[in-house]
Amino acid sequence: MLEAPALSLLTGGEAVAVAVRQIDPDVFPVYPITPQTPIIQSFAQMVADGQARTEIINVESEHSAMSAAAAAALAGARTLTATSSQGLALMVEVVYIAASLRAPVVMAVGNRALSGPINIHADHSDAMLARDTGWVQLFAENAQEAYDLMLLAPRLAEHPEVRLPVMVGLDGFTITHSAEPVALLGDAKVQAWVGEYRHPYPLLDTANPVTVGPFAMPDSYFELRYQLQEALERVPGVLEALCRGYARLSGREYAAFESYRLEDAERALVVMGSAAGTAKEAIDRLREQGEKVGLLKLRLFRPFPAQALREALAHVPHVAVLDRALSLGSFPPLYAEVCAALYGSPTRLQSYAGGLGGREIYTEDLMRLFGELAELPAGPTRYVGLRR
Amino acid sequence: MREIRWHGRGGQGAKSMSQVLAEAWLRQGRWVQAFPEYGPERSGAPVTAYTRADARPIRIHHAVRNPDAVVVLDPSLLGEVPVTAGLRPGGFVLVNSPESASSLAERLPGVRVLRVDGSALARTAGGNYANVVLLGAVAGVLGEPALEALQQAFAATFAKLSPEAVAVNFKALEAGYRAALEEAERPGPGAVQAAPTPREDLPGAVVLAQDAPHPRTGGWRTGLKPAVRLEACVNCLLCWVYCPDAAILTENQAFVGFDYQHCKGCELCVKACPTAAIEMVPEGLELVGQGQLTPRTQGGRHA
Repeated sequence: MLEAPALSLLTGGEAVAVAVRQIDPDVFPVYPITPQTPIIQSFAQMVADGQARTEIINVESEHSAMSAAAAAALAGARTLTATSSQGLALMVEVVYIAASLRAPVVMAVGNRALSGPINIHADHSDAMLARDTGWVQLFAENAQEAYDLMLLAPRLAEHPEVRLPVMVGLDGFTITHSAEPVALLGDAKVQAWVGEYRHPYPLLDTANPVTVGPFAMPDSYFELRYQLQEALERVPGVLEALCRGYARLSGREYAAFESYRLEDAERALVVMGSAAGTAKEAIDRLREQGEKVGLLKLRLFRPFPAQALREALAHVPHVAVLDRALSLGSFPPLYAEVCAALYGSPTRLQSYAGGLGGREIYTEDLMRLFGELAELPAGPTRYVGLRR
Repeated sequence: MREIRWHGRGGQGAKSMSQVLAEAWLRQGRWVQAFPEYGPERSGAPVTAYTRADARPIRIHHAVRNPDAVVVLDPSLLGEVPVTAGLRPGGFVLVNSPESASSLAERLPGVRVLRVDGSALARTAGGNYANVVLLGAVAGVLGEPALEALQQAFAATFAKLSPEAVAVNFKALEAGYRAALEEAERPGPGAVQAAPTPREDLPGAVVLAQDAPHPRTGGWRTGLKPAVRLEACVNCLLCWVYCPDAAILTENQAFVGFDYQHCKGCELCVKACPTAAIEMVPEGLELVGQGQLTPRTQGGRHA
């Protein structure tokens, strides 16, 4: 088999579709929703062209998509799906159930604003809706990361120490619909990497019948929820080991977060998703002017790597956290997490929110943010790019 | 503080009596609390309820851990529910049963067992419900609340009952209140059952067939059970398909009978049977022909 060319020009959505084709899952139940649609559109074409053996299930709603996905994964089929925004909101009831049933489903999420008003553009509000569901949540900076995280995701989800569903987020339009060069792995390499899916108690093993999804009374519900908590706590260790293997396979290094020019930084930004790339650009420009600024780009939001993040930021006097979502009536979600992780640390934190509903976050916005960060008195959330 | 635990089956009025008792105490100037513990919400399924009474306001909101008294409305619960769990020293278990107190004490070692045939007393009073008799009896043993307070509380709680029905229940309450209770105690530990911990190696609450802590849901039936005329059975096994409790027994893919320990009496098999071979019959009777019943013979295979 020929190796794929060194770089392919793909949108984030297409890169995810290629990853799905190479994984060649058994089942892919899906309902299309912008900006996730190109993922299923591209992948359905690949299946129609005989490039994957996957059974695509066209369901009547996202609620059904997740119901079918969880059931298929428990039946013994490797199962992937994709969604976005209102689709995730509609499926969220079953998103909880998939995690509690320990169904290792992998789902790409084209991160997009929630209604209303209706808006189809980049925003992390949809993912935040699912942050307490028990899923592992990863965020990609660009198409390459979306592709690579999709290939890491099944190994993480299906790992016996984890056995949890995994969400891979990529910013709607900004990444899902932007064509960028992506280095792909060969099909055979991916197949060898993901291996065969094995569920220890598949529903279709009729010789060894099991009950799945029983009612749990107050005497056992708590323990079962605690099992989920423990499984999530094992994720960082498993992810680290998988990333070492993936680096050997692909030459690309991954981890729960990426530190960029952070070693001697006096001011740092914490951000997830596509704005991290823009932040690197802003940091390079400021560094040229002698400013000691740096970035902590978070990929793993759930479980939240609090201790590692605290250590990585321990030496930085001023840290800004830029959220692409609000927690209406309180501090934005990422800020609240970082705040809790850094509790008691001398680092001074400042909350920023921006980029909601696809509002651009420009390089200059972030340069301005770094510029004011050390001078600001302690205060409430500041809004990047908001007109008022 | 007085703390009472009620055990009954859904439909037997354990929850109602926990409230009537609280209402009666309230009428005597006590602060009270009454609440049930919800499990499978179905008639016949085990139900637990609690009553608290104190001289000062009750602020705690959790189950009664160490009751002064336990009232058991249905003797069939004794093998199914740990009724003596946590009973306070000096406390007692009051059981509605035709069985003798000493025989009940054999099954409840280490606690003071009081027994009253509440069902019989209820029938004598002209009613059907043993729960009212047991309410009267537990108040009689405790010495409070007063019979008049219980009767007022009952009338207030069941304001829509006819005067005749209220009169019957007053009689039943009084019969329980004044009943001479049989008493026995056998040495042994008061049984306390720890809740099973979900298995660590089975993530996602998977239950393996051999591990199923299968509740004996046969106790949920309320007087009727399915019975079959085998000569009318065409062995289509639709009953096996529809039974939600896997209580249709087969051998070599042939229908052989019912697992009455787990049959909840839902009647789905009766509805599914295309030849009307299955009918619901009163417990203790057997089907000999269509609509024809006979008292049960000993040694029934699946009884």
